[in-house]
Amino acid sequence: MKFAGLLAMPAGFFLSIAALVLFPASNATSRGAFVLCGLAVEALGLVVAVRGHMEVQTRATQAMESGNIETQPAETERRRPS
Amino acid sequence: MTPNPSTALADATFTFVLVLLLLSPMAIAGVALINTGLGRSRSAAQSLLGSVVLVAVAAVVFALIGAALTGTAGAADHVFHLAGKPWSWLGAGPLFLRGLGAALVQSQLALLFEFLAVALAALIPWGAGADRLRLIAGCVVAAVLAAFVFPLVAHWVWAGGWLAQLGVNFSLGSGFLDPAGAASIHVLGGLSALAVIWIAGPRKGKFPPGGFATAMPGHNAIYILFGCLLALTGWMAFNAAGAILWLHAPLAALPVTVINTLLSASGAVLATFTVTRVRFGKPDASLCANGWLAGLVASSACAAVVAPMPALVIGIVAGVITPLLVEVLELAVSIDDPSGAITAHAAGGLWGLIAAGIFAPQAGQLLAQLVGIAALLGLVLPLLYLLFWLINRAVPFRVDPDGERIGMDLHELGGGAYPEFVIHRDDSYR
Repeated sequence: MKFAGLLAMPAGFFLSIAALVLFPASNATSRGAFVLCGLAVEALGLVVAVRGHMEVQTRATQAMESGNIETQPAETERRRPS
Repeated sequence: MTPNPSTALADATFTFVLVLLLLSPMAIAGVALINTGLGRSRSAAQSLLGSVVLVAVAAVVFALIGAALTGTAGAADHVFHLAGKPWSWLGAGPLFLRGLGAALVQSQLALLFEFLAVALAALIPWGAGADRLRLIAGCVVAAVLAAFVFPLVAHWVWAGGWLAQLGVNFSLGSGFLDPAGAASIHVLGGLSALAVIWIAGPRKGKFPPGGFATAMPGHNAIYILFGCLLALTGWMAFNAAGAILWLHAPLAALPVTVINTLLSASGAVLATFTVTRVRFGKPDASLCANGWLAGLVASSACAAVVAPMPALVIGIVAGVITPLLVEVLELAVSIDDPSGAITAHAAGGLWGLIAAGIFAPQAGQLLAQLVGIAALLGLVLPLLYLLFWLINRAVPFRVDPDGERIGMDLHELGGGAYPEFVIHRDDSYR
């Protein structure tokens, strides 16, 4: 899933480049919209990649809970980030 | 090497830029201190030694390969043509710095700026991988950045590449604006940090089963905050030198650039101070340091192109974003970034680039900035992840569990940074 997200990101980049090539400078609105769409595709790809990362993280935690890998020390729950 | 007469720069300007570039390593020292302070005490020596070694690796590799691929504006480069426009995507200068002595003084100063820039960029993923990234893996990451990825981006932005030519070829303002490396140093470094973190994984005990993220506070607030003050000096020099070298700003414009840098950092740290005070009841030193750094990073993109009040606003926005994004990345997305590199460098840099487009007076500038951001996120991040993923197969990024347990200092160096101190075990964080 992480790789799928990372593969989607270049598609967004090429969409942004296509905006420059396809639309003349006088058509700034269409250019801008196309570039924003490209960035939106990249953002979606990034979200998918991040979700993939979280899936891997969850699997690792579950494996830890089931004792498949070395147990981590029990920690208190703290909300304040380091 | 024979000295070269300054043909493009007046002698006074040349001297001024040289002095500024001699002050710029303060930024590198500041970031190295911040990274070390934000890590754990049992990895402090490895962190700071790693910073020194990584700067050396980046400088040597950039001299051997990277400088050639970066090229200089108006010199030989690799170009393809699309839609009737030239797209210069990589430099084609001489390898091993051949002919440097005969180059224009301005090119030599630009090269010095790039040396310092690549060294700073190499330190950013190193801080993000603190407490579990092996020194040899850090060196390989720095070498890959200096040899291929940094030259690619630096050519696009500074050496007449396709991003710099967006204004000429596509009527987008003055082309992509990044006078002091918000994109080619900080966003590149921050995205490298993200890739390194994804591959290396979190520190042991950071995300315990069935609980929230564990707080692993930095071990030395003095290093962190002194690093911030040191970085300010370096950043002022970097921003002023970048304005002269890449925007051809007159000397008379430099005081405003330096004031903007200070205002951006000040606005950012005050905003972070306030946000953490409201959220946690007390201001958080490490998050304030990240806010300060985010303000400086944002100023890298826009200090030379905006007025003082917009610079202050840009800093305040960076300072508000920083603590919130650190929290989101850690608690919601399970990303363990001890130095806050993704937030301070990548997000701060991206915000600075957007702000330069918003506040710059030229029409079409915002679109040029967005195209540059699209290139960084859409092309550079996947490229970095692919390269680091391949490297990790040959040189594993992560230290073995035993090394992480005893600390990187003992495991990799055989001695700690504070031999007379008692080193706390993980249990002491309870």
